Amino acid sequence: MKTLERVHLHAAVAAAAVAIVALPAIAQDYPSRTVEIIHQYGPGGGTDRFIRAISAPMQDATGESFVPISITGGGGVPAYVTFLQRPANGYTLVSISPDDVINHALGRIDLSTVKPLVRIQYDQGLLLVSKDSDLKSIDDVLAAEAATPGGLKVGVTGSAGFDDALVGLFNESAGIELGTVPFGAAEMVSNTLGGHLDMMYEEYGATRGLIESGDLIPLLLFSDERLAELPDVPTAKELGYDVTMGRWRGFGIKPDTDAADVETLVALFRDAAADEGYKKVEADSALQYRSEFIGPEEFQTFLDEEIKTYTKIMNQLGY
Amino acid sequence: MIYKLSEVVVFAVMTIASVALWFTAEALPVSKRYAQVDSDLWPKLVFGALALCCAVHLAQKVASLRLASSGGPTPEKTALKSAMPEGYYLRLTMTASLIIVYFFALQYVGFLLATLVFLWAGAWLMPYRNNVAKIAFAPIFTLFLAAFFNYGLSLSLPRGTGIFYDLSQALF
Amino acid sequence: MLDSFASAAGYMVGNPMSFLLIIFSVAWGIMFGAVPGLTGIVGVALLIPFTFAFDPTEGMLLLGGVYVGSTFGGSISAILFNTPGSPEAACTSLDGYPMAKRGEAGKALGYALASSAVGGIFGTLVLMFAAPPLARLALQFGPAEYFALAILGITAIASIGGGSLIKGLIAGLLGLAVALIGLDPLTGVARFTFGNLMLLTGVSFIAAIIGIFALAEVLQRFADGPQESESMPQVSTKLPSMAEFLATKATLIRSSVIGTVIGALPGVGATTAAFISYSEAFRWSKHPELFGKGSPEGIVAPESGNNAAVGGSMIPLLALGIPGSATTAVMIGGLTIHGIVPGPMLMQNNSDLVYSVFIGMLLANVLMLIFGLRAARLFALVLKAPYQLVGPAIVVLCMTGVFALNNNVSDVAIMLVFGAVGFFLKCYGLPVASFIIGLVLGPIAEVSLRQGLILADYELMTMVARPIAGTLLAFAALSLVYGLWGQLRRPPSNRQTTAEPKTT
Repeated sequence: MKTLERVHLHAAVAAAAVAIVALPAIAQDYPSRTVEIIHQYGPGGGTDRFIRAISAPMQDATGESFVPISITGGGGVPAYVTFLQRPANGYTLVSISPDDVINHALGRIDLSTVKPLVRIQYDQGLLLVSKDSDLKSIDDVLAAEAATPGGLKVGVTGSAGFDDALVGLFNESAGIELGTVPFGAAEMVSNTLGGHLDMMYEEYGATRGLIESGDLIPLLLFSDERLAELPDVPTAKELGYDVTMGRWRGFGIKPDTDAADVETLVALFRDAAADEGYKKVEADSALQYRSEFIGPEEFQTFLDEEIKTYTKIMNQLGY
Repeated sequence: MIYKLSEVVVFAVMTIASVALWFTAEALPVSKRYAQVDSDLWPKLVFGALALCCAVHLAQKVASLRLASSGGPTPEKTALKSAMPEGYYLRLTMTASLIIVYFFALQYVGFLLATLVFLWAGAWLMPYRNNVAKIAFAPIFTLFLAAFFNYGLSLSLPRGTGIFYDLSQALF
Repeated sequence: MLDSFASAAGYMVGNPMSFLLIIFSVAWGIMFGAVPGLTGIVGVALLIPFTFAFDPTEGMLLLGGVYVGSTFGGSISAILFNTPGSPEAACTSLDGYPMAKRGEAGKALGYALASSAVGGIFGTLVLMFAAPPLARLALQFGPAEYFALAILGITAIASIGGGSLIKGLIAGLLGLAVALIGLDPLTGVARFTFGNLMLLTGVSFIAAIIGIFALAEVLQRFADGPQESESMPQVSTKLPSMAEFLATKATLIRSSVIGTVIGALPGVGATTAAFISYSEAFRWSKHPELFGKGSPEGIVAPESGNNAAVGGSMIPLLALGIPGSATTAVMIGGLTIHGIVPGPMLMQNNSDLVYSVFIGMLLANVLMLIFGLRAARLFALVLKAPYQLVGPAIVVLCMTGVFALNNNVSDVAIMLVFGAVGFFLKCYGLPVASFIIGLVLGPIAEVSLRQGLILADYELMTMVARPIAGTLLAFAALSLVYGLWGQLRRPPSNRQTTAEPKTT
């Protein structure tokens, strides 16, 4: 055992010596080890699944893994702070979504400390009710609200996050007062099915199984056009409420990362987003309609626009 | 006697801290939408109850302290104090500071070096006759753990900073 | 149903590979459970990429086996080193470690293992035969019911430490207070973080319990010096006899039922199940004075509870497609990647998959019992190693495990702080059990109280006057009164006696 130990040590010291000499060479064959992608959502959630799906073709291409690191809670601030603490060596990415833009608008984080890399997905959300609900259409919702303003409660995920902002904006444009109650994603569904909540807001991908089985009935879609999967569900836009915001998903990196590495990454993501396997995952959640791959410059422009939009919305909502 | 005094001090501090934290809760920003179930609702309940319980306990302790100083019967706690072995506080301080040094060392010099030195140092804290085991255990355990986390589980370990980061990166 | 069962069994027999997968996954799960800091969630998440290589059924068998194994695994380190390997094992430390310290490590491990298997098999059987009705029952649980459940557990803090009423209350309230740290889940306001951004997430539960149990214990034993640390030389690897184990059958059945029902509730998992099982076992026990001093019931209750919760948490996953726990949330992710849509249709559209998972989980529990009983004796031998070497090694393992969990140094710092907290609690005789119950159930109680009040338009009476919630609250109130009466009735001289557990 002891001699074995010594051999190990020798090998380790030798390897260390070689590696220190070979250090400058590392930059060229990026990525040469696991790349970590920090996000603020739970393991198994939409973003976590997205990262796993997009990284599969990237792993095939590079032979290195791209793994999601979930740092939940705290409204996403701890995840972002963890990202900021990492070195700018190209091996740590952070997921960016409207929740981060809202955090920026509320002054919780500063998005100028991240370089937007690529934006890949663009989702659309739904207002859903249980099949046992008295609310059968969005007209019922408006009528109930007209009778008792603030009487209906909508389940949302996250506190003062994207869902909340969207429902608030819909309230404003429809002149109603839906109350929002924050829940965990799973409890939100069980409370809606159990009749404790009147409605819930969620994306199509996460609720598809329950919509197909008829347990959850979608009443309203927040998008520009109806979904081919749900041809009978009207959009808020066609009813005259201009609320089309959706949750988008992209990645950011430390601003002072090596430019060549950034280029490599963007190219990897571009190929992965066009990959057959990934396209199928996207289509499973009806994500193909609004998703469009955009690179660093366009994403920066888009992000600046979003920051303006959400700052305005959050101000309107009184945050 | 020192223990009983420290008890009084600790529960007095806790009573004051609970009251202070109750007022911290009072000062939390008010939410318009959830005004009736705002952020301070539950904290106030908790700290209120805590302050009350600590105060009651403090009163009990003060009462028993006065009883003891007036020559009354001494309850079981004094027995506990006298049973404390020699060098207790010295070893406690040394162990605690060694753990804290290890915590910082992990961040600056990385897992391998810090752990090796910590295990060696830790083994000498208490008398133990088998010197061979003392010396051999640290490197074996360190390398085993590094290999287990890095290759077995592919989870990263602290790599340290600067030159230590490069060294660690080369090793695992 | 029998058809699907037979065809699934046929599939399993036709695929010898699947048995290998189950054995591997249970071992993998036990390892993740046992290493402090690493949890079943990490174990499942790390295996998901590997499931690509298999078909969905094999993938699910793999993940189910890890889930079963990891829930038990935590109790190994909890019993041997007072280091709960995963959150759901925190409760097992309370009685498992004192029993091991008495020299009966083999017995403690045996109790943990046998009750884990019984709880696990019970949960799986309920999952197989009663998933849809139990899922409907779970849907009856709104915020009001969650609140009542949490209060029922919290009422145990006053009595559970075995010491004085007021100390139990103080410890429990301290736990509730620590649970307040972080971002308010409703309004998004930062509370008691004192400007520290990493504290916005709140105190990491796993880091806190490892600090309170493991670090505090290492500190204590090193401070006590050599004469104390060598007091564990006679390590018995004897397992409990069948008669001894059956003596706990009431606790076993009660905890399995509690575990399954709580597991089936979305958002509360094995950890809550373990603690509520523990406090109920204490409430109903004939020997409550032995709790915290190595009571067999104190091991059997949390272990059967948390393993029954494994089957329970698969109920909403399979019947509704929503996760009952964090680990099943990761499993849903794994299913979707295979193109399977989790939802109520799953049982009809993929009945082979579902029934194979049932059989796989039953097998996993049986295998765990068979191999585990042999391994338990080996594990118990670890205690023969000198503490001078083991103590520092525990510290290293805790630090690396907690760090690797989130790659987060601040979690390690939290662990250190709670090492000091644990030491402080011990010093002043504040019961650790009460503190941790407050820490676990506090957030559930607070959030569900506020959600419930919003939904009931701020009428407390409307909220609590629901059948399930009302019953649970009335029960909590009754048991509190009963407990208080018991405390007052007992003469003060008896209150402090350390009754020696009798070895039947």
